[in-house]
Amino acid sequence: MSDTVQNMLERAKLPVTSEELERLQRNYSVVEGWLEDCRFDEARASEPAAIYRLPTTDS
Amino acid sequence: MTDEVPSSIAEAGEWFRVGKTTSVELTRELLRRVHASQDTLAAFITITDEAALAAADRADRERAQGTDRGPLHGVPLGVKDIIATSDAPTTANSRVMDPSWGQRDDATVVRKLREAGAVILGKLGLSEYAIGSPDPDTGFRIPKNPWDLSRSPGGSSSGTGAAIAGGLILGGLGTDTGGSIRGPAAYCGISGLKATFGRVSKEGCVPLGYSLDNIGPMARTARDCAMMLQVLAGFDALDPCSADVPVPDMLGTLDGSVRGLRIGVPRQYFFDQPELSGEIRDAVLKAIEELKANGATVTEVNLTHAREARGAQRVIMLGEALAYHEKDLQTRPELYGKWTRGQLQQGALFTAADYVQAQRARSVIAAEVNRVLTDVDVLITPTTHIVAPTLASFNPDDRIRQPDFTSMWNLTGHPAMSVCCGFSEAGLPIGMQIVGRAFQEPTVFKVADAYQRVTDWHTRTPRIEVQVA
Repeated sequence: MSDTVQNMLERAKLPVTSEELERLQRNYSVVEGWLEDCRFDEARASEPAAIYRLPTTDS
Repeated sequence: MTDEVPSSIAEAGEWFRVGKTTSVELTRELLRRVHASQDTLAAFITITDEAALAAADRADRERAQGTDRGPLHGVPLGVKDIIATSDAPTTANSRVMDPSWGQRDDATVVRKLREAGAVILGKLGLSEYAIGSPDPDTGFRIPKNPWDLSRSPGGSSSGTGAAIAGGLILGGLGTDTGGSIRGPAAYCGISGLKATFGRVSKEGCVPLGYSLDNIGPMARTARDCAMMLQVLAGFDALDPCSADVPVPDMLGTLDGSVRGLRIGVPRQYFFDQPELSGEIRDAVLKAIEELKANGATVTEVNLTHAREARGAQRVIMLGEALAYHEKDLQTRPELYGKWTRGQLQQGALFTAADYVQAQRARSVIAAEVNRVLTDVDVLITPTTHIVAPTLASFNPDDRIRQPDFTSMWNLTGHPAMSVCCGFSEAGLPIGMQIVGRAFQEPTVFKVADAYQRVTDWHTRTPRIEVQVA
């Protein structure tokens, strides 16, 4: 997990302090939970929302 | 005039009409309070005395000549300092902010307020870039909660909430990407609305989450918010997210009646979280009973994916925020406050596929809310799970693990409003959230206004006014 976080930050070219890295690693399970939450069955079968036109109405 | 001031925008209009005060007198008194409270409340970043008094004088002269620009004419307001104004810099409470934001024209919403005759007293404090946390690193003052100066007024529209509750302005603009209008409204005991996504132009506002951001009104009462939204709403070709839909009469529905209105109560998630304060749960359920006693029907509804909405909103917000801040985070990260930096860095911890998957979840969740809202007119939930916490106890690591009742409506785009529905034993305000169908803000206002006609929570004021008088 620590490698995953470090690799993603490096890929994004984001410099972080050791304290920040430790905090991001500590909270990574929360982020993983968010990603898992987005993968419920219906969501896997859905079209994405368009950024500039939300599906708030049927029109 | 004395140092007495009107309690609402609507009352200010009455006072102007009967000659009880003038815009200049009211503006002078409020500016005095603003300056006197900067060392305690710290609500403002920039105070525009000269421009405000000039606008107030213009409003008085126009009124004397028979010109009435409507309910905001001559009314002192404030603007969150993430929205551009032509007469003051825009800092976003950050050392990173491009100074050119202080050299541009008014944002569309500010232009509309000025055209309606509003008097803008200055730029209000906020969490850095609307995502940071109370953080002395940014170099700006940290707004305090007028109900208890050791507590947070909420974020990110912290200055707007503090200034209205503290009696420094009669209304103001906030922005809301996950609850940044409604949270401060709840913590400060005032009213605040996030309108339907696209209803209010966000041109001239520093972005946080492009597809989640909203500018909206905050004031003491729902009626005042409706008056403000009437001015703010409307299509704007300068904002690619702006919705080209008619603007209804926001005030026409405010007849005090909820008879026949159908209220949906999503108990699952919004009322069953172990972290939800018992005082808040009880106050919101009691408010729902009040509405029922006044003729509304109440039914329990189920929002199956309410829990998952939080994750989708976070992934989308942080991804969009990182896209905006990427270059500055790479080249001069030390200029951000540490909490802001920590939040934005989380946007690097997922992939493009994750972002798209969050948008897929968003489609499903929005469709589900639309389905539920065919059977009921509004949904009611608590706005927050706790009352205003102390600034000293703030811990962002705890915060991301807490339940969240506001961000779901940024994800789905539906209008959502917070109004005060009680106080805790410690004397801190409690917020109730009213969610409506897309582009049906008048129904949200109708419920909120009817509630405020039979309760007096929104009329209570904190003791800070004594301290600044």
